[in-house]
Amino acid sequence: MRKIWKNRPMWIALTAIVLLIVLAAFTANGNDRTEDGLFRSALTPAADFLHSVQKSVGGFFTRVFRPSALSEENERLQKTVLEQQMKLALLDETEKENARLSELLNFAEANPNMRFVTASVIGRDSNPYIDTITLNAGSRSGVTEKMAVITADGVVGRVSEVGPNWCRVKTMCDEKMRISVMVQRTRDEGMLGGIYEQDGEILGTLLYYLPGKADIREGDIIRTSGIGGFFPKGLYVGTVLSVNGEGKGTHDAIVSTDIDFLHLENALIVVGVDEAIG
Amino acid sequence: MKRRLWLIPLSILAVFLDVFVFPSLFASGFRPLFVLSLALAATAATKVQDGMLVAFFGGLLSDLFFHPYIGLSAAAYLTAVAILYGFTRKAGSVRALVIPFAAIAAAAAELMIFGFSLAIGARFDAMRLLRATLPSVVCEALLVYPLSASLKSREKGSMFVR
Repeated sequence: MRKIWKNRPMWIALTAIVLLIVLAAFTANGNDRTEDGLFRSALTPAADFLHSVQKSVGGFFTRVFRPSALSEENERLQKTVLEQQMKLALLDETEKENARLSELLNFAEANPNMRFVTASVIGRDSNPYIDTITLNAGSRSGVTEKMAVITADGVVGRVSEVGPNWCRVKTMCDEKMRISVMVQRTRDEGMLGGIYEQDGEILGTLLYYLPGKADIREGDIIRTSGIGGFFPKGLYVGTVLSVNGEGKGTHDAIVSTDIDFLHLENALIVVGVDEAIG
Repeated sequence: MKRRLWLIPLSILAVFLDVFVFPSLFASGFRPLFVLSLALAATAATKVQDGMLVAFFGGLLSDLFFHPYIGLSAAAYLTAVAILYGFTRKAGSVRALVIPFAAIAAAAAELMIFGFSLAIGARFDAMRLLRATLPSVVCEALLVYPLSASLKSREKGSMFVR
């Protein structure tokens, strides 16, 4: 035992080992106590510099000794870039969906007298004029035929067919679709339905049967009149683009809607209207 | 004193190999620690002080490149040197035993590094221990013999009797 006490190299080694372990513990990652400490502050720049030297010189030797490692690294980085791009695209998509749903939520909050079911478009008619769309909400969510489908931008159409978890919606572009509407400014009533196109370009939907004396002007706002009971009264439909047939018995007008039927992704189905509040 | 001075450039060369060359040469985590082999060889071939010198400065320099655990390699190499020194003192001067002794010492150093990593929160990876650390230990131990022979040819006064 006395021999060990007298063994100087052993004692020096032991002391050095203990001190070095303490030093390693202090410089180990995650040791918050030393995060702002003088020791780490003094050592980090030098260690970072040496680490960067190690990376660059080590990289040279890797290129010399293991060229395959370089192509592996390249492949790995390409994969990472692809993954990041996919994540970014997904994030962008989520952000857009969030914006759309927020818009619908704001609309729903602004109309507390109506009860809505939010749905996403899961199918579109192959017809370029898109007169039918399919939504991912059905009878299980309380959806029934002839319910109104709207967005914050206006009326979309009416439910024409219902499944357990889906429904088909006949949009305003459908030739047979008729919605009872009124001019907000004058309260003149008419019927809206079918698209108006010129040289293959859709200009808007047609507004029929306005009284001959109706004072309708370009820019007038058109809203649902509530007649017929399918669409709640006062829903925004669109604005008057042009007026035809002035001086005859009735007026016709072209109404442009703000809804982009080709890119519609979410909609609200009006499943009920609380008359007491409305 | 002269003897120790020429060990310093040798230690720097060993660090250079450990830090820049070996990681590029070998894949899948297998990385023999040349500084450790040199420290053990110096302990076996010359004096324990020489081994300690190589272990301390070589280990510290390696740690500066492989931060963030500055001092860990130096502590592990010193432990290995102390173990080899203890063995050789006990066993006397049996040259044939230098490789197994060096293997035990190198394993102790590797385990010390491994244990420290675990202690600060690293994930336990038994497969890595078997696939990378074990071959590294064998390689380090095998390197000790030619290195100690080479050092011995330059030096006299080895712990081992010729």
